Amino acid sequence: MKIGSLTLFIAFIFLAIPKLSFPGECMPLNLEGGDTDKSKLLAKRVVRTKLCGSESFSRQSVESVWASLMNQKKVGGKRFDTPPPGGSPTGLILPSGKGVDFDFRKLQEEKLESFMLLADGKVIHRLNNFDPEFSIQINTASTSVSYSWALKTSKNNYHGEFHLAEKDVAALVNSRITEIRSSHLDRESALLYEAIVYDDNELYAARDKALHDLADLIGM
Amino acid sequence: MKINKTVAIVGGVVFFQAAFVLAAQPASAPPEEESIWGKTKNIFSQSGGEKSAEDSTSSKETDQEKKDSSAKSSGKTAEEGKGGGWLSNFSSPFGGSADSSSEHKGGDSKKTTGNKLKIQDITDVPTMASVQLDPACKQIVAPFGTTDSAISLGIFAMKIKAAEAIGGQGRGFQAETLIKQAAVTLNWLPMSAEMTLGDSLLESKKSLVLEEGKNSNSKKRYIKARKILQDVLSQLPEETPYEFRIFVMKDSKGNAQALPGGIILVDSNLVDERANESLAFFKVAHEVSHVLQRHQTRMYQARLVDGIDTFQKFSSFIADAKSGSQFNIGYLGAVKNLFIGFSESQELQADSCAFNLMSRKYQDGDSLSGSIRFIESRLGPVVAVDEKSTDRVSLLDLTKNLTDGQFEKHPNTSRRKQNLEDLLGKARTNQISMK
Repeated sequence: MKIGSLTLFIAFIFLAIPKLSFPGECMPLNLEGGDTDKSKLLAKRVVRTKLCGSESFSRQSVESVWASLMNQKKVGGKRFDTPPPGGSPTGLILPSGKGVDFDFRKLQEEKLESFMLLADGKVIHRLNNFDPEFSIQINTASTSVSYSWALKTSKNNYHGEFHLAEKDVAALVNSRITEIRSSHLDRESALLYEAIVYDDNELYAARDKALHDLADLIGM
Repeated sequence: MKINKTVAIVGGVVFFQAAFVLAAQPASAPPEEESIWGKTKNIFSQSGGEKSAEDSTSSKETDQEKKDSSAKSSGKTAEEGKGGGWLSNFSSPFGGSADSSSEHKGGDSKKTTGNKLKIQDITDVPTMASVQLDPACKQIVAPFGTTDSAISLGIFAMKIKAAEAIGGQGRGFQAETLIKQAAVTLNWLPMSAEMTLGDSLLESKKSLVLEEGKNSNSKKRYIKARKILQDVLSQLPEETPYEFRIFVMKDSKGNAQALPGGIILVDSNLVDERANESLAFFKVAHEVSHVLQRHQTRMYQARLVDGIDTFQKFSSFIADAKSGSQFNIGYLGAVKNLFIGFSESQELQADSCAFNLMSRKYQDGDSLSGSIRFIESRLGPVVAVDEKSTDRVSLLDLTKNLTDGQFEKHPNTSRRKQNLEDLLGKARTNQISMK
């Protein structure tokens, strides 16, 4: 029986050590910035997940995503433009099953007036009196098309440009997202991992959308 | 206000020496520039409030500046010549040191060294932010040399002394206000300090910078980013002491950003293979202009001397800045995390500077019009400007109230477009008048 206990103890050590060393391996706890209490809470939650420390997440993307989440406050420098709402389709995007998703809920106070979607400079969709969150079906096969959109509110004009991810990139990302969502993670950790996958594949709008949802969820 | 007599005497000597140098300088017409609309004198002609003289003829350089000149002639900046100097303890964002000599080796642009004196008359600068800056950006590279500042400061001391002699209040001539104004207007912050600030800010964004070696796409983006930067710098009408560096950010909002010391950040989609080159050129030129006009640095300067209200304190503060006292390093640490926003006027000026650079690149008028119209269609989104909060306050008031992001205000889109349209109109008029 003593041997059995020893085996159990050794097995425990082997299983526990990676978990205990997660702050070093899994990174988020080692990163600085943001609200300490909230970031620590989230980091603890992430550390407990089985995906933490997985080699399939690049260290640079983990750090980027963590820094983006923690450092919401602007520090130094000067931007050419005030950016469009976080998560709006810009750059490389991955269409959802419903098409391209737009979420202007944060601009609701400005009173949304009109919206236009253009493909290679031609208007393909026009909206008036619309909900702040909507999707538009587009031909997902047309990765060479340059899309642009413009939103007019009672106060400002917003715009963005995007194009669709190539099929192989889309397939890879979708499979990784499916893997994360089927891992029975808590919602916060899943969003963080999804953001990391998006960041690694240069899908920055999707990354920002996931981070905004996460920030809302944990009250940052 | 009591002014130290010695300072005033030194200022006087400097003033007369400067006057001698300027008198010895042959009168020269504004440089004739080739533009898309033909030869024109107006775009980059010298602004009325400033004069130039050859640095080499100046006999009033301090010992340190002589060393600086020597460093410049050997291909190094003044700060490089100091071997890193008082800022050498700062670490650079990607593992290097803040020592200028090592920084410059990794730069994305070949540094050119200015050798002209540019003297500023601080008391001639209006206090209103909206008129302090030349909206047409006639002088694309703001005065930067320490000698320039020393002479300008000498003239400034003389004027304060003279104002005191006549009662101190003539034409709103209040020394305390002027000293604070000098803190904003003069370029006294050493370039090494600018670089340290820039590196410090870059360090805070390090994890958001795209790794150049990540994949073939990232490499292509850096190649394109550097090409655009070189393209912009090659259009500069005069030499600049900055060695610009450009980094690609892991973001896709098509934005660009400037940090002090010549660091330019661009979003990845601004330099991807589909990106519009003229738009990228304009955005990078706009950011380069912020650096060359030292917009951000001036705001930092204003913060650094906040609380200094006598000429004596101010001049010793500047001396400390040059010698590199720990006092100033502490100040730099205190301000490095502040978001320093620019006024609407500074944004419009940077747009104008970018326009001027574009007009040099696109020699054909139709190409320029087409590019500018495309850029206009891509301007914004913008934050509505509260007229009362920025237009009606002085730059000094603005700097006193700097807080995180509070004054990050771009001009309203229509004003920005109007500014570009006005510049296009002027360029056309010049073309017609030259025919």
